[in-house]
Amino acid sequence: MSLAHRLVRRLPARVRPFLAAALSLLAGLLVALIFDYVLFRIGLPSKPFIYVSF
Amino acid sequence: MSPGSPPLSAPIPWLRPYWFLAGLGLGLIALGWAGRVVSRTDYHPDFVRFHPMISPEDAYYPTLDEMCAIARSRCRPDQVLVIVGGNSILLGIWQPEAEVWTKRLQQLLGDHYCVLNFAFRGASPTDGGAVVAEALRREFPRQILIVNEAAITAVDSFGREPYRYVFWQGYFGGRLLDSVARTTDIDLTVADQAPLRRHLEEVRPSIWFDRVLHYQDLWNWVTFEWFGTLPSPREPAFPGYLRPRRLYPDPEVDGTSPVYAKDTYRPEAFPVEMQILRGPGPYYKQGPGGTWELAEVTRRDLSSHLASAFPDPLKPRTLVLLSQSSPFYRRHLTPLEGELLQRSFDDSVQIWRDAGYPCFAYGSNFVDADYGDRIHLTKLGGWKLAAQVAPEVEELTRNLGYLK
Repeated sequence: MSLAHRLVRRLPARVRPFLAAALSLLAGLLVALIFDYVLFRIGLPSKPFIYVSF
Repeated sequence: MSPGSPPLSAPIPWLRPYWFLAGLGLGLIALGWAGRVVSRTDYHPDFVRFHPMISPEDAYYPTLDEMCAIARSRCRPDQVLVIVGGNSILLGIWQPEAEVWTKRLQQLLGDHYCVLNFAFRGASPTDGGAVVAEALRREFPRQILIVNEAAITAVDSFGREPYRYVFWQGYFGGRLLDSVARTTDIDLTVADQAPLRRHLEEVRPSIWFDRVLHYQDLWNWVTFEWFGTLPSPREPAFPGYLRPRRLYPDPEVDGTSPVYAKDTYRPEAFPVEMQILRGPGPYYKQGPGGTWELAEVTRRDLSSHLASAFPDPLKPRTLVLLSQSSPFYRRHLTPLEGELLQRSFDDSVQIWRDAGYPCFAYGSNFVDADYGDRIHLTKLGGWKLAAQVAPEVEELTRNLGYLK
């Protein structure tokens, strides 16, 4: 049994749904942040711009 | 186990799909809102120009909205907006930030004008500042754009890499004027170049997403104010690249300082620089009277490019400067080569003017010390340039009816 499962088992039954909702919401927010950053990164050129002056 | 609790055998016992999706949606809305706020905020309080650490040279890509916000926060409605676009010459390479030529231009023009330097290294006349000026044409109808180019050089209507992203932001964002000539130019180029076509297939949806989520502006702001998120040529390794870009000063040196002036005209660069100076040669032949004649096909090609480079209504307010090379190199030309070079500038000025742009060439009366290398001006040359440009800007202001 994983540590997460054991921790969940120790919590009072009434608290579990609230905690699960809060953690799910946080996970969603985190994924949104990562998705937003990935969109930013894939929009950048993959090759660096090297300026050479003549 | 109570009926409402998650089954302990589930892989992620705490995950609730609806709450997760709510978090995802809320997160995207919040980030999009933050990006929208940032895109309308000038977070470059001490902006003078885009030095390397806040330009594509170091993986920082200023957005169109970012530059528009800089213009809005500095230019009052009663001022004439003067945007300087173009390349490293107008950016002010060899000119320290405090003495850059655009500051001198601002001093000469006075408080009725607001001069902003949106030039980039290696940019074309239709890059950066040109897109900003066009996007702001309704908010700042009294505006002048200053750009530069070499003699006998064509200009693409949609900029050049790596700065073309600003043009696409304006073009696909619906913020530029409708111009049949420019659209035709773009369509023909896209039809002819498969890599550009593929690139645009990615750019178009990316810009659509960005218009909704504003992630380019948000992460630029994070990179500038808080922490960098990607390596750059000057900060290639962790943790160096985490340093926020606002902490980097403009590194441009003073080309008149003895430390740098001794290397201004490096002997090893001489052959290449002379080759560049002789660049217009292949486009000319000597006529019966010994005068240099520009090949008709080149003249037509240049005229065609310049006709579509900017939309017609914007041409009269676009002041084009043609940059002469340092006399250090020009004096090594033979008399015939010197005549050809001068002719190439005279022809170029005329072709630009015939296409509808105010235009003049500068530098023919500059001295060696006015240049930091073959083509870039030191602060001394920059101040001379400002002294030549200021009356031209004032005349344009009168001619365009901005004083009414």
